[in-house]
Amino acid sequence: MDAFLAGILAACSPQNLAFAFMGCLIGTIVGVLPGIGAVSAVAILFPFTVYLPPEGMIIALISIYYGSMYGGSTTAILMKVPGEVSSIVTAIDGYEMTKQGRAGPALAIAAIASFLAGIIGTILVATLGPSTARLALGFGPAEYLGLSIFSLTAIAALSGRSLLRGAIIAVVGLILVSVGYDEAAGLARLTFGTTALQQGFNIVPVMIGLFGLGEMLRIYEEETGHFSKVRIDKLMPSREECALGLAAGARATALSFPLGLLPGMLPSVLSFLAYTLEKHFSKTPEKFGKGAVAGVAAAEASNNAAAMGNLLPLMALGVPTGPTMALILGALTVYGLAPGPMLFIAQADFVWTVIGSFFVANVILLVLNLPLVGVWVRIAAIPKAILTPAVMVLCLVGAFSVRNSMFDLWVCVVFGFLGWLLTRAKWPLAPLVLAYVLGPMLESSARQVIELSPLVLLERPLFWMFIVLAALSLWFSRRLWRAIE
Amino acid sequence: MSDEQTVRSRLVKNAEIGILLLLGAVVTGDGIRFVLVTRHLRALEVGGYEILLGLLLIILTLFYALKPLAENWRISEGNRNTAIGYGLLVAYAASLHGLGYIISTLIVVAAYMRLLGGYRMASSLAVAAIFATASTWLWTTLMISLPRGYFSTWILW
Repeated sequence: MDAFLAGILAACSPQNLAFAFMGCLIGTIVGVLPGIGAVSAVAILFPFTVYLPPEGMIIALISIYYGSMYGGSTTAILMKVPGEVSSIVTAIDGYEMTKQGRAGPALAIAAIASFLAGIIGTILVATLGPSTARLALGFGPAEYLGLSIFSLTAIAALSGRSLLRGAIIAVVGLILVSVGYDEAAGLARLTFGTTALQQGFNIVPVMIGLFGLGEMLRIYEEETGHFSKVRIDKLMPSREECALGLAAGARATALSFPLGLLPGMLPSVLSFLAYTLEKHFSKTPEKFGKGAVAGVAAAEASNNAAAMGNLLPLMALGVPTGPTMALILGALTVYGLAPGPMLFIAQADFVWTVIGSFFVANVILLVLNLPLVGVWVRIAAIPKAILTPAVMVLCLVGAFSVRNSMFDLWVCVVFGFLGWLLTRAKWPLAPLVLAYVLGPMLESSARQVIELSPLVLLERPLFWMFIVLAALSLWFSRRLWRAIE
Repeated sequence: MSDEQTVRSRLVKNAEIGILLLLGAVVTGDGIRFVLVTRHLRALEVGGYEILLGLLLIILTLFYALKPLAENWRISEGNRNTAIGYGLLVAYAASLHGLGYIISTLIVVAAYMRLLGGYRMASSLAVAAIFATASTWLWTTLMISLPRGYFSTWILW
């Protein structure tokens, strides 16, 4: 607990506070822009944070992530323009409340539920993180192989309704990451004799392309949300609304944090699940979809609790559970910091400052968001003919700046087209990205196991536990999608 | 689904299957090349991994080919604006190396506003000029290097 408090104090240093504040502000601004979700916001802004010190970069990225999630909810409630998939659930009841003239209470409940879920999530990360890291210290190649298989199976099964499509796109991701020079063997794979391909595809331009440019191209296909002027007379909800909202938020947090620890359980999936369960067990299910406060609170709390849950495996095991976490992993590796159990030991101060910054970012967002609702609404109304070229310039400059390479710029352009094409044909992108990040770990651990002897797997019960979890995730995903439908 | 949509969806699915099988074959072929041709100590493990991935992709794609089109599956319609948007993006990426950041950004942002937003040429150019100048100042302040182009000696930044 002392370390956690020290982390909060370190996160409150003027410099870190400035990074958190700027991250929250910029994240919210990008998040309110129609069509740009949290993953896109982090992907677009990531290259510009590499100029900060390591702590500052991660604090800024986490704050951008939180800020963009808050921003997406604001436009979902006021304009029915969800910034990302997870905000679609918020829009169901949030926009109905706005139409009934209750925009203020809807925004306040969303902010309060998110804040409480974020704070509870931070405390749980601080409590469970060190013990999870200690457990992972005993992991060898067999366990990492099992963990990679489990993560990939779960993400393939949970990221879309078709398991087969998820599995295919994950294999494509594994193939893409194998392009280039294999450092262990000193051989070039899938380069077809070209020197440009020997360096492989850097994750940053790939992600910016898939999530930044891909989203921008998709925006052209969508109708811009029609925004009728919203009057926000009263901001605070009534006592009854508060009680309903907080209870629903607490239930959603209790459900979403533990499930968020599992790969593939992204905030988008869990907010649907929390909303469905809240409606199922509600005494007044008929109110859902017609402006139920509990619906807004459940969706928002679930969103934030799942985001916190996603952070724990990243920090303690070095395993990302979704595309945003994959980017944050990429950010850490820029500084040679490998997330995982050793990070908690070798860089304890760094880890606790980052965890402390989760707490600080949640407080900043609560203070920042509600008074500035009017500003967010004006930003969200920017015409897309001005917005899209600006974001595209940002994407290309970001892709170029990572290695000052025109090759990366073209990788970004090609992956932008691929991202748009895959989204149009309803292929899930999350398995591709996860496979891209986990591919090297999967390959190196498999090679080590084979070098030792495959029989070593028989002596490693944790490997088999992960295989059983992979099988369970397949079974669970079918039931989950049926429940959501 | 209407007949037209079914035919279109079938065509798209066939194209997907073709591309995936081709990718699987290329990866498997590269793996076989390592194993059979490259005389390297670790060629078997490097090539073996590729063969495994390639075959896995081919097998999964064959299963996918056997699955019928889902009732509610239908790809969304593209539109003219997306094609223009992507065309301008490619033009921007191609021009950055030669024209440099400022000139390319000025032209492309103005073109976007004119072609996709229907703004007047003068106002598009004015906004694009402000954006190009302000963003150049921001990137240079942040010490982010930009493509300078052939005309960099004429432009003071």
